[in-house]
Amino acid sequence: MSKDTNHPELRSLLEVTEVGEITISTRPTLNSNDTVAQAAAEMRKESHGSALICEDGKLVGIITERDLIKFISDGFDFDLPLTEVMTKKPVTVTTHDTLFYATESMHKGGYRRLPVIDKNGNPVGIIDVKTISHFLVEHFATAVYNQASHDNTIAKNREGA
Amino acid sequence: MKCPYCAHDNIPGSDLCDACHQPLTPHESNGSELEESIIRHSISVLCPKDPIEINKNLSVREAINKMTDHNIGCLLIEENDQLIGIFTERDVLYKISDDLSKLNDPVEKHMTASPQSITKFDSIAYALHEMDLGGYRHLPIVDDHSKPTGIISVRDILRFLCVKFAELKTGLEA
Repeated sequence: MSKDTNHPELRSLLEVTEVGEITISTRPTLNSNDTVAQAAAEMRKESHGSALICEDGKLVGIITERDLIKFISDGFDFDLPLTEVMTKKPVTVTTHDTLFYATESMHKGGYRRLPVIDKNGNPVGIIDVKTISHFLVEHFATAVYNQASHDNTIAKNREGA
Repeated sequence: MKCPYCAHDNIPGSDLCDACHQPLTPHESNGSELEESIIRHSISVLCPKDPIEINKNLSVREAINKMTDHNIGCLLIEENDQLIGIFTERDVLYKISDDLSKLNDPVEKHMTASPQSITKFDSIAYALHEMDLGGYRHLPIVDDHSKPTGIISVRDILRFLCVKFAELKTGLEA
């Protein structure tokens, strides 16, 4: 445990905080018959780089902005149904998993975001690296906000005259 | 004496590091070991990737092909050896995906001009702060002449934290 309760340690933060506390909640509206263009529109609308695809309330796939890049590069048609292009049965975390577990899963799988499901297996949202880093920054205000850029702290030329 | 910020080997007795001008005196502990480590370590310990640089006149389509070729989500636009812009997959989603005819535009039209950058001497904590403040996932690293030398992502920082965390957990020296 931390010696100073005003500065909770990162290690305990990651171990005690549950994914559900910082999940970006989404209202999954896409199903596998929707098109890539519809998924892109949904992502733009939600200002988020991925969208969950569901059927009968259960998660069946995920599509991300990285996928869009691949489609464009491969010359794919944006009218294709998602079922043909989505990542099926993506790796998920549950709302009760720890942040540390989620971070490790991302690290191992090379993912930047993971769908979050509740204990009944229903999708509730997405957790991504940016949300985790923002959470850490908020809890490390003293360490993070007091940092000056090396570049800006040293005057390269004598000022004035 | 090794600089705690950039690891430059200094002459014993120096007050400031020759390379990065940071004080060589050990600073006061004001938090956990992990918190300390992101202040103490410069982003160089993250082993930044080499940047993929492109010309501003390249078409958006060719830029996207470059992203998939290199399996990277972010390209730097360079002119006269200076960083002038950044083009990311986020730009593709927001500015291109609603109208694919824009694929023929020069990348200059859709890039983010004069992006925020950092130097290799900046601390991990500083990089984390900049990314959080601006909502960036990537930060270009430039040298004294604004020439891009590398790129780091928020994932690199989280990976560093996880590795440090595991080291502390198993009781190894951080």
